[in-house]
Amino acid sequence: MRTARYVVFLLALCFALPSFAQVSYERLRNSDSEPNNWLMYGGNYGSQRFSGLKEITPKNAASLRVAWAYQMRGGGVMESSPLIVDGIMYITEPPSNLTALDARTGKPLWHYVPVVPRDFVPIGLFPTNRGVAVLDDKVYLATIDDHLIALDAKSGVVRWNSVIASKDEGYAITQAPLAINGKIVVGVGGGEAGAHGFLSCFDAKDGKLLWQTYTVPRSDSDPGADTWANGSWSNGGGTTWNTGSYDPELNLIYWGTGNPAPDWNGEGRMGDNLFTCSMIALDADTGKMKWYFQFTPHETHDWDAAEPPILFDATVNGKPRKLLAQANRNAFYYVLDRVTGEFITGMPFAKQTWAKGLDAKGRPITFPPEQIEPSVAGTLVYPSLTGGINWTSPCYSPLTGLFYVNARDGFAYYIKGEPKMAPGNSVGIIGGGGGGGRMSGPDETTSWIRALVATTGEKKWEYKMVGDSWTGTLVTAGGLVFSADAAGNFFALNADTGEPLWHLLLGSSVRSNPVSYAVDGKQYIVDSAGNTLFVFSLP
Amino acid sequence: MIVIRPFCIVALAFLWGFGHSPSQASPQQAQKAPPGNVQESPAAKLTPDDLAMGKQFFAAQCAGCHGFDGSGQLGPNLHGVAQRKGDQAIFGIIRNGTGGMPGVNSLNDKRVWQVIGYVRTLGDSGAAEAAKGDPVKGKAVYDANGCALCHSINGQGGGIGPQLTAIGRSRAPKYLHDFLLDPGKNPPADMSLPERGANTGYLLVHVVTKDGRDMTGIRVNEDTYTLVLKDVSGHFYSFDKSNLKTIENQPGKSVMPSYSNLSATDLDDLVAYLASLKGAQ
Repeated sequence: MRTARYVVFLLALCFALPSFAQVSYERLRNSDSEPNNWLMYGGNYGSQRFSGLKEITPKNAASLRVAWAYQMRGGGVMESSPLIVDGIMYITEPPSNLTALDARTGKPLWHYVPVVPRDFVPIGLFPTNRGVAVLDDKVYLATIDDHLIALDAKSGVVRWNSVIASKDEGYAITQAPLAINGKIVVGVGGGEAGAHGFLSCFDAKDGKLLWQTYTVPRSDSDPGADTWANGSWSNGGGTTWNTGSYDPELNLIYWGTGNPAPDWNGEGRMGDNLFTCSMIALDADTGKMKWYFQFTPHETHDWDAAEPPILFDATVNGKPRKLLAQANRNAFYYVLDRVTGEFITGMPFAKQTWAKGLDAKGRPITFPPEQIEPSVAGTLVYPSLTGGINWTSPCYSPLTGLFYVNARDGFAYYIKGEPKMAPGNSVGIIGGGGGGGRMSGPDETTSWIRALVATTGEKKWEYKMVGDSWTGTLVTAGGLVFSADAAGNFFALNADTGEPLWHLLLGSSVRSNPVSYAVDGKQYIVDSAGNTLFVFSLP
Repeated sequence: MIVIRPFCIVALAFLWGFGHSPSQASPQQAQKAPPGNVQESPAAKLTPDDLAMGKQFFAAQCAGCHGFDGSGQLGPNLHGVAQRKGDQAIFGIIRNGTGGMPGVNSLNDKRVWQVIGYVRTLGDSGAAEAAKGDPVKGKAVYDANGCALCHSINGQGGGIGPQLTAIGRSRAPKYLHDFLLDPGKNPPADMSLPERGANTGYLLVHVVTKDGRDMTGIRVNEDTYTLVLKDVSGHFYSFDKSNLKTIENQPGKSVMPSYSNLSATDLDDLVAYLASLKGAQ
């Protein structure tokens, strides 16, 4: 009798605790078929941030309440986009710490703190981390000091640790890696520090570097070198600091690249400065560039193209197309053919005063330089340095065909500085080697959730917020869009109409991307505010 | 690739200033640090090239709030600040922030010291003009015009406007002069709450409720859903925006009256008095 009770107790215990199952590449590739989990940074390989869960709907969203919360062990602001795998949640905390939580309760399961040199201060970015990748039995973490670390997903034990780049050359990493078939792809930050952008691919099993592709020329004979006058490619730039997307059928990786260096003063680097401020498509096996599309040639306003590319298929002019859409920091929304890189359409999604429009190939038709180029006194241009959008993710619903973006209408006075640049030796964050800007204040900046027809960029609805919001968006099969305003009001909108349905003030700014998952048949919505992760559900 | 934090610094750094309360000073100000002795700090080892770099960093990161000559705009006058507080204390402020100024974490230690070295070269009074008037007479002007109804000095006075106990440390005489003539033109940030610091300080807002009531008050905080105003008696009014028919921001206006009616002499004296207020921090 006693033995039987013991067995029952053990069984109950087993059911009560999360159990990590292997996350095969096939599971990642078919992530849409298991909406209970959130298996990669962008939700699926198309970075759509669409949750197939539908327990929470416009009819019951007003009943949402906090199910549990988790406070970070250290200070700072959480920017992590959690992964949820079979009841275990993986979050990161500044600068590069990794925590596994019981997704039912928020109780920590293990915590990993990498060794980061105390005196390391990254240039031009805040030392934080935005998430991890999972593949098979491991979790993959990129650290602020440029290491890629593989940990056992169950225990947090480090399996291997590889160096991605040298922090002494200005590189720093805040992004979540991307796991594909047996490989881990990761980019680098450091555009204000003169870092030369590249994308790396490591063997998921042992951390061996498989390929590395630079986004800017490394010699006069490299592709694109003729777009940098007088060998100015040596300045660097084109960093790859936000997580990209992947098309398994085409076996192409899509990644946005950052500004050329120095920013805000292009006098010393005349030309288009390829392949900065571009979308690049790389063969996942070789790293070879299949195509590129440059959004902002010869960029001088810090309008990186690092925003997540969203992949979707739709019919355009009667023909089925494989598409890639990006809401670019330069305030234009672009739709490209992701097979060829061909420009299909584009239009502003946020206020901009720098271009009359886009030509037939998608190249901006800019206003005269005296109206838009940084100057010693400062030139007022929309959007601001932080852009019509920054690193936070938009989302796409295959049910509505809408692209939802947290858009910013704001300006900056762009100031020109010295056109000098040396790797790891920037002229500061605002100066960034070349100048800087004074941004519109919160009262002069308006944020919006804008729902765009994904194939055209046409605005279907918009929802106005007060202040300068820094939150991504999530759309669900239940018909809801989640995001937050600058004050930290986390809210739900009707995905069809933009009608506000529910909000809750979380007490601090929300600087992360919401996600959704389910455990035991119950849907949860997750986002963080300040140093606290909040998980919401219906009662 | 600049991401969130650095540029929040730009926006937030604009906000530090007039309403900055001494009590809000962060622990990292190292108030107990001895007055700076350049010979004891890394700033003593700086070369002319270092100082030139410091000037560049300052222009890029600090001038937006403190002015290119460091004499203060929306941020305080920095002339003599390193000499008064000590280099280590300034290092702590730059690194950790204070009041409405966030910490700067994107400069390594060497660059921070270069900035401190440059700030030291600005001197104690530097380019900031000296107040022309008589501070003793200016106190009488202050008292006679009822300034204490809204402002406090050394604990005496009202709480509608900013405390002025140390206003001479954070504001140059010219700013004070211009502000007294047109208080709505360049309003200070109100840093007493984070919500206020994130927006223009002391903004007047006129609202009309759906049931027909209206009021004008100083914005205390605002988000997408709510608005809190304060009247000149210090009463708070909390609104759910769904109950408001109109919300009209009134930039350029101030609850503080203009003192353009003062004689030039009285105005100079009042400015001199305010500029002399450098209460203990």
